[in-house]
Amino acid sequence: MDMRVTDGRHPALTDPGRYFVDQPAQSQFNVHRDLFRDAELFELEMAHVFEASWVYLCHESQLRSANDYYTTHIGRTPVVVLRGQDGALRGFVNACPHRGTRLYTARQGNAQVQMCPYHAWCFDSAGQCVKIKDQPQAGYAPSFGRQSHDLKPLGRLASYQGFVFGALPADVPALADYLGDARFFIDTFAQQSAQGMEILPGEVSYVFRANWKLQVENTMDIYHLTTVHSTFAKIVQQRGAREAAAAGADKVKAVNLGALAGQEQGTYTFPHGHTVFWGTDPLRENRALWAMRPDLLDRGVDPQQVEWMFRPRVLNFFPNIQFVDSACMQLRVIRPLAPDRTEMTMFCLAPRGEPAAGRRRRLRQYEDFFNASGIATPDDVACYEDIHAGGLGDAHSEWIQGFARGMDKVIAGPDSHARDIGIRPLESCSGVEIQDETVFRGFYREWLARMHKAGGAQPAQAAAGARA
Amino acid sequence: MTNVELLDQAQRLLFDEAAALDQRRWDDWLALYTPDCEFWVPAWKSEDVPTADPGGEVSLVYYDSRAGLEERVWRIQSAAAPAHRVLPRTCHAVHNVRLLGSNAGSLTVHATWRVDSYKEKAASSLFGFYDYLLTGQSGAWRIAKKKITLLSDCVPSYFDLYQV
Repeated sequence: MDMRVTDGRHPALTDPGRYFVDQPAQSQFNVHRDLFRDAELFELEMAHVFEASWVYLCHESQLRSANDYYTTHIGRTPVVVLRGQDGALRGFVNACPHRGTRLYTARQGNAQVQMCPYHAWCFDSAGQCVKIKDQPQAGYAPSFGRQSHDLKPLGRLASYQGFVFGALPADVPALADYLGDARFFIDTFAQQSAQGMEILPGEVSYVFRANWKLQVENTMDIYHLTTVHSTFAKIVQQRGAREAAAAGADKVKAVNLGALAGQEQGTYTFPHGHTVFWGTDPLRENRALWAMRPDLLDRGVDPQQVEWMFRPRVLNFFPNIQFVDSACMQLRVIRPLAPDRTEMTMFCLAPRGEPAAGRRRRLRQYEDFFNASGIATPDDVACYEDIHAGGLGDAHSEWIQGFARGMDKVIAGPDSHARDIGIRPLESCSGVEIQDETVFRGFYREWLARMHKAGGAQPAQAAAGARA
Repeated sequence: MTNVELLDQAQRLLFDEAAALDQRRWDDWLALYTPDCEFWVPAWKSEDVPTADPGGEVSLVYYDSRAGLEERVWRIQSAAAPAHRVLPRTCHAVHNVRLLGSNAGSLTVHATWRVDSYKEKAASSLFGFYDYLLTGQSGAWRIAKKKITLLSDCVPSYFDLYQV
């Protein structure tokens, strides 16, 4: 584990009241502005949020063949996932043990043996050091021979439904336990094709000038849609009108935000900081997946699962992966670079074997909304950057007020929808037009629990379960 | 018509397009395109290879008619999009223009480009290649296809069509 941060005196580790007001009985929840701008706190987050437990790494379809590799990060640590000759996936710190030189520099590729560019130490696709240049005549002491020169393995690497997660330390919960009942929703992304799922070629990335937690909040924030995405909504409406006029001109059939209004929606908060939003789309036949619906039912996918595949839904898995399905599916991987700089990498997830027309429509829907060159995501990013450009508001006021919507509607435990599908969230909130903000609390409670654990205090997860 | 004259005509159209965007003459920009034009900015599959199939791979932007460009112009001018509250000042530099092919009704043109943007006291730039298919006739060419290969694809924040 990264040991660069050892100072236990930072108030985030020792003084919960400094950064949070979390008093469910008084319907109070506030977050301190410093969480988004304190450079020292950012380093603590890297150590105790990102480098201390599971983070999402990649999808198995990105490493299909033996010797395929994929590079990414866990917090500040460069990581490589390798598929060995034996077909197994393994994760390592992507650095030569000799000098710490980054070993795999391409984003992804295939290499039976990877040579360090600096002194030519060589490693196989199981991470084993297979050659140290000039070793016999180099005068190494016997102790050198007793040391391992293999790549440093991650503490844990595991997949759920093809989604690969890794952790630097080994003492983390089993992945299935970590993901918990929120796995139901991953299944709605993972089981859309009998042939499995794939990441479509074309990785899109951008770097915005704001704190990474604004991305976490925004993806769960439904309240912003009608303002931030008003131009998107209008364009979709205009396309619909053109279609009516020209009989079939709208080939994109993007998500119609206007049609989502007035429909039932809800949120769930799960242990370990995972959160879910779900909605109701009355135009679900516009989804590319619609053509595959009979196949899904024919091959015995749970009909409830199939129904939920056609709901708009957003999953935020603590801390760095978001699954979004508004019309088509997207994965968003968050990589914080600095308190005010965040790299986003976006992937289009699709069912393998999808008919060509559906695939084309899926891509157009994806580009329209999700790309940083699209007509929706830039508006989200502009808002995060406006928050930061303003220094997060008044320097003399501490608390952000954005957690009050839905406070009188949120309940402890599952609501009727959750009971129907057999999941037990910590908190549920559902109804029409709530667009609740209570769902953000699950993320922050886990954040705080991590900090307290690092500071030697008892986890603060006890605060979860607002109105028991 | 000699190739030199055709190249000159192609160049003039490319420069006119750049000027229309930098001067925010949106209707003049749209008028350079045919109604059924293809406008395509591929994404990248790897460090070296851009996506090649808009039907099966992700693009940064893909439109198969001018309607997509018209939507963008409407959005830019709407004053309702947070990303366009302040428009960056932009400067297109289009260079190394080459005529790759010509026949009676079309010209194939390649060029390199760089667009500098300036907004809120900060400058940024994007750069890459243009591939055009121009159709029509001598002296009255219009853009039937434009492919923009964006080499600097991990962009600062976001971008729109007037920045590439």
